[in-house]
Amino acid sequence: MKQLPSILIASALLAASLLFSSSSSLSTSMAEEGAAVYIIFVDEPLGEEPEAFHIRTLAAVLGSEEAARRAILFHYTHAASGFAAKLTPEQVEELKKQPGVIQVMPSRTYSIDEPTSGAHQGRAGHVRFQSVPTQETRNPNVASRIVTSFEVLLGFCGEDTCASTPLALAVTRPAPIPNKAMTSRWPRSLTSALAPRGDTLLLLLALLFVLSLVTHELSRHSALAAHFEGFDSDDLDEAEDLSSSDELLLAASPPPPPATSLSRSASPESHHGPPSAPKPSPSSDLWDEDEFEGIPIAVQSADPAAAPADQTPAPSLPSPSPPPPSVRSYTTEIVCISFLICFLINYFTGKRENEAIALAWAAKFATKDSIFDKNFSLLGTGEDKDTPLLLKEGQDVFKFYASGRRYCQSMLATMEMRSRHDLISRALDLVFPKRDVITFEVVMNEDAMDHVVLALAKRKMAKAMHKEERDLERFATLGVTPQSGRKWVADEVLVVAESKEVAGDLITEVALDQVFGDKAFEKFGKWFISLHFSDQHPGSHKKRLIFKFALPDANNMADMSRLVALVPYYIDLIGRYKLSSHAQSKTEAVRAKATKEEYKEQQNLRQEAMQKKKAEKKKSLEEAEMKLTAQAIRKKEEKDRARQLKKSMPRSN
Amino acid sequence: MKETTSSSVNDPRLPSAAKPYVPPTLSPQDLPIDYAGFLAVVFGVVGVTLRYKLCSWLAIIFCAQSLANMKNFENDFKQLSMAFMFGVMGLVTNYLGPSRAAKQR
Repeated sequence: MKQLPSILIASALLAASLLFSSSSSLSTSMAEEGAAVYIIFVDEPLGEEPEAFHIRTLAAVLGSEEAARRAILFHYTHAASGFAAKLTPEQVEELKKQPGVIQVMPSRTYSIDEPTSGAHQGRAGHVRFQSVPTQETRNPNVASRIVTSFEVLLGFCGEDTCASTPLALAVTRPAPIPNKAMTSRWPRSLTSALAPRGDTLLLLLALLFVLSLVTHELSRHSALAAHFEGFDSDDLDEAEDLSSSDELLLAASPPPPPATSLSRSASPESHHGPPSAPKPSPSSDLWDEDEFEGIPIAVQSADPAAAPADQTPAPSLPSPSPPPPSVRSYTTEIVCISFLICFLINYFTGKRENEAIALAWAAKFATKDSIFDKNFSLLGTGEDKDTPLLLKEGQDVFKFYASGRRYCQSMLATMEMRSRHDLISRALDLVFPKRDVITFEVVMNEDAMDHVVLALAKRKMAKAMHKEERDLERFATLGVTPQSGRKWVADEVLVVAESKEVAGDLITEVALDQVFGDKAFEKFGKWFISLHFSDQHPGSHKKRLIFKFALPDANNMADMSRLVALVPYYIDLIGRYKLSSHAQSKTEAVRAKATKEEYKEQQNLRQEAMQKKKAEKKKSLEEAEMKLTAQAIRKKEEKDRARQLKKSMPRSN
Repeated sequence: MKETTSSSVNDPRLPSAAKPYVPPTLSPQDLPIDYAGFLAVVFGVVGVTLRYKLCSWLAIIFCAQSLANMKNFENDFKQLSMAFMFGVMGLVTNYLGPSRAAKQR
């Protein structure tokens, strides 16, 4: 595949050079009407260059050496001496009388393409091998086709001189412009360079070339499905020329598919030469005609009109290309690019929205003389006073840190915003609504928190928490209510607590009145998500209070001030709280049991790990042993062999 | 409520107990999976191998999403750059390669 362009270019160059060289000789061939190509065999000149001798001989007939040089198409110099030239019958008669001329005979062409003309009459032959690419049925556009033509010129000398010995063999590739009626001269150097002895080698080479080209073509067709029209380089020129010739060749075969005819039958927008240019009618004849032979005048006259049109390069190319692409064919590009632009715009606007909410929160609760400033001595993540209060992680997570308060080590508030900066997540949020959530995580001092396990959430959430959180599952029960007909939390809220005592003591009148009571919850319930206090949290800090609230939008931050006030309130409450001795003994027993279980579990895990290790060790040892034994066996065998050798040696000697 | 707690006990602040913030260390395995980056890689590869320009465009879009959601530059950059390469490669082969394939479709 990679070689394809280089091959294309090479063939294009070759074709271009041929075109150029042949166009120069066009004028001469035009002048000599009725002339035909003859092959003249002459005596081997003594002490003279064969070419010069040929020209001298012919010049005697034609009048000047210039004319002779132009008329000679070919010099045969190796096996026999002779030349091919375009001559009129009168000139032939005259030439026959010249000294040194042995024989003059007309040149004939035998073509493999056309079996009807295949009578082997003449002794000089011109055989063409044409490798036409496999017929592409799916893609009718022949312009894409690259015709590789192989021309093997074989000049045979007459029976009387040296029968069936090839005089010269010229191989060129590709000669793509037969219908242009260009009489091209074979490069003399090429002809003379080919020794007659190497003919078989050359033939093999030619066959190899053809084969490689055909395989290449096949692979190209199968891999690329031959979408080749519209190359905007010089190769196209050639490709088009080739396609035209190709088409002519195919004229006899079933009618070409519509696309082909469209590209060829001068449609108004095609700049492909004058539309009125008469197409040579007997196409198969034309194809057979070779550059050497006299080409019918009709074609020659038609050609000059067609040739310039074909030689005009780039502008004539787009004719076979499909009609100008409409807007619809770029739908994906338009949609994708506009989406990307929307994404970019949304990124900045969404980012700003998130920042606005976070800043509104910080302004409300963390600035000077606000609730956190009054409760914590250190605000913000930095050591200095100047560092920003909020720590931004990504575009949708903001953190606020506070420390320096009694009963607790630190408090970390994490605001997880909706992914407003991300257009795709935003679209998903429309389907699955999400809320901005702020989570306060307070790490209590080790000595400041008694055995407390308490969670508070809306019903569904509470059940989920009870299932998922390990400490709640182990120590607490779902749906705790106080003994008496005491005022209790709103109906939507479920309490998960270790005991009735803890629940009753920690959900105080104040808390009920401010947030969790029926009336207050109606107002503030929509911002409340959950509370979770536990001295048995998994992780390095076991004693933690976790508050989860929803964030209102930037303008209504005051709505959650009561909820935020719960944080310092509960820090103080729990910091001071002491269980009754009765409850204490109970919880201690439970915790002892739990730690025991945990220890056991850990022990089990450790043991399992140990056993695993042991098994692995054993296995590796066994393997090593196996290896050792294998080695030992091998050693033993070697020894045995050595011994046997020793035994057999003296006998043989 | 705040008044009740903070007024009854004069000042809860304890500057001596203040501890500076220690950012939690996250191992790369604990990070949430970057679905956008993954999708970008998948679409990019599909776009290159099957020459679907839509897939390549989608890869670019998911690259943009992954970039927008990126939190840890070092961890995510490798995958993202790979996905982006694939996306761009797909587009280049689609439009600058044998472009007729795209046009004729």
